[in-house]
Amino acid sequence: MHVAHQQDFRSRALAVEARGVSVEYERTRDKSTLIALEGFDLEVREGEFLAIVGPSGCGKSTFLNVVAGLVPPAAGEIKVYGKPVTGPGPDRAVVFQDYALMPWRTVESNVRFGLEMQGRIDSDTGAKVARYIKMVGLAGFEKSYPRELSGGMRQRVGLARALVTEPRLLLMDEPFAAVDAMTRELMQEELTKIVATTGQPIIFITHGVDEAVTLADRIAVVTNRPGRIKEIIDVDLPRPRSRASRQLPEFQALRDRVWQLLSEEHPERAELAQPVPAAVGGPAARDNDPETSV
Amino acid sequence: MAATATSAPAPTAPRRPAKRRQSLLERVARKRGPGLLAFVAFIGLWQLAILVFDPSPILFPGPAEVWDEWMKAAADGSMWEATANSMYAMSIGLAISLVVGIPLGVAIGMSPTADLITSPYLWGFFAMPRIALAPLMVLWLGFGAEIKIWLVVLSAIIPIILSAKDGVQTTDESLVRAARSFGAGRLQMFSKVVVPNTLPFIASGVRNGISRGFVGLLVIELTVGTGGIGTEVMRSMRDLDTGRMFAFTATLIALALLLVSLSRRLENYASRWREEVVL
Repeated sequence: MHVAHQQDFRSRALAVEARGVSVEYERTRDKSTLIALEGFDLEVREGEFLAIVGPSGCGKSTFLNVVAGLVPPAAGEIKVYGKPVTGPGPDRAVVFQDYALMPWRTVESNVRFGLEMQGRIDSDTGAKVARYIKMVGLAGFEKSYPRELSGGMRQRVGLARALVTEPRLLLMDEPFAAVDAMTRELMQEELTKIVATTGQPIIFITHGVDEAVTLADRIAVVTNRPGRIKEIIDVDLPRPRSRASRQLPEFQALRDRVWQLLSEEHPERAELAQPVPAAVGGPAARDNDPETSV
Repeated sequence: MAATATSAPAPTAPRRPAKRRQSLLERVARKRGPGLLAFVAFIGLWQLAILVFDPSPILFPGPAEVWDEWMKAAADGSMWEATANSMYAMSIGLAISLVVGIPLGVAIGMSPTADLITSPYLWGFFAMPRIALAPLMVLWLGFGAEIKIWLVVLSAIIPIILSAKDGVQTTDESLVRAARSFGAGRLQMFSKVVVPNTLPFIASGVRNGISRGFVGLLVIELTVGTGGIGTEVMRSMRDLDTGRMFAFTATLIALALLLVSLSRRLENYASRWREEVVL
C-alpha cells in the first residue's frame, strides 16, 4: 500500500492540508508568549507514511496535536480530507508516546475504549476488538492489566486501540521512543506490515533518523522553534525494508542528509552561532513548553 | 491452576475435588494458623500471669472471669443491646458520610476555586480533635442517638471528602488527553476516566473514615454516656466491675478488627488494578 514513488502520491487525494498553521502558548511564569509553530505548511496524501523529525522542543508534537484537534491553532488552516479540523473526530486516531492506557482496564477493555467514547459499541464490537488484538500480536493477553505488560506490549495496546476505530488518518507521537532498541526494531517491522493491510495515511513523529528513513515515504524536517518545515525529503527506497536495507548506500545517503539538516537546527548549535538573551532562551524559559516538559 | 483445570483429561477429574479441599484446608491453616496460635499463647500468658501474681480480680481479672462476664452479658442481652446501639449509630453515620462526602469531595476536586476556598477549613477540621465538639453537641443534640451519629459523621466525612478530592485531582493528564482524542465529552470523561481513577482513593478514604468514625463514636460513648459499648465500659468501670469491663472491651476490639478487615477488603478490591496491592 505504501509505494515508494512519490509520483504516485502526488496524484492521490489530499488527506491532510495544513496552511500557515501557528500555535502559541502562554508561559505561566511571566505571561510571555511562546510561539511553538509559525507558518507551518504540510500536505499528506492518501496511503502515505509521513515522518516528521526535528530538534526537541521544535513543535512537531504540537503539530500532531493540532491535526488531532487537541490544540487549536492561533492562525492558519488545517483540513483533514477537506474538512476543517475543529476538534477530535472519529476520522483520526492518536497513538501516544506514553501509551496513555487506562490502568484499571484490561487489554481488551482498553482496546474498546475509543469505540466506547465514540458511541460505536454494537454486537460486532467483541469480534472486532479480538481481531485487532490479534493483529498487534497480543492474542492471549486480553485479560491482562497494563501494569502486567512490558512497554512494547503496552504500545501494541495503544496501536490496537487506535486502529480498531478504523480511522482514515493515524497519528503517532513518538510511539516507540520509550521502548528498548530491540523492541523498537520489531515494532517498526510489525507496524509496516500492519499499515500495509489497514492502509490509512500516517503522520509519525520521531526523533530517530533511522526510524524515519526505515518507515517513511517522506520525511519532513522541522526547524528549531518556532517550528516550520525546513525541507521535505522523499524516501524512495524499495519496500519491504528490513535491517539489511540499512546497509544500502541509498539508505545511508538519506540518513546523512537528514542528520545534516537536523544538526543545522540543533538548539545548542543555534545558540552558539547566535547568542540569545537569557530572558528568551535558556532552561528557565522552557518551563511551560509542551515539547520539553513532557 | 486454571490452565491445568481446563486441560486435565476427564478420567482424572474425580480426584481433583479431594485434592483441592485438602489444599484449601492447608491454605486456611497457613493463613490463620499463626494468628490463632498467637491468640492462644496470649490467653495462656494472661492466665499464667494471674497464677503467678494472683492480683485482686477488681484490679486485673483473669481470662476465665472475663469469659464468665461475657457469657453473663450475652445471656441477659446487655451485650447485644450495646453492640446494636453502637453499630446503629456507626452505620447511619457512615452512610451519611458516604452519601454526602463522596459527591462533595468529587465536586471540590473538579473545581480549583472550590478547592482553594474549602481546603483550609477541611484540613483545619481534620486536625481538630472531634471530642472538642462534644460539649457543644450535647447542648444542641442532648444525650440521644443523634449526638453519636453526628460525631461519627464529623469524624468520618472529612477523610472521605479529602481522599475523593485527591483522587479527582490526581487524574493523569495523559489519560484525559487520550480520552479527548477519541472524542470523549464531559460526562464520559467523568464517568470513564475520573471516576475509575478516583475509586481506590475513595475506598482508602472510607477505610480511614471507618476507623476515625469508630473512634469518634467510642469517645462520645465513653465520655457523654449515651448508651452503647463505650458507655457499658464506662459504667462497669465506675461500678468496679472489672471483669464486665474487660468483656465489653473484648467485644469492642472484635468489632474494630471486623471493621478494619472489611474496609481493607473493600480497598483492595477497588484498587486491584494498582501495582502495590498484595491480597
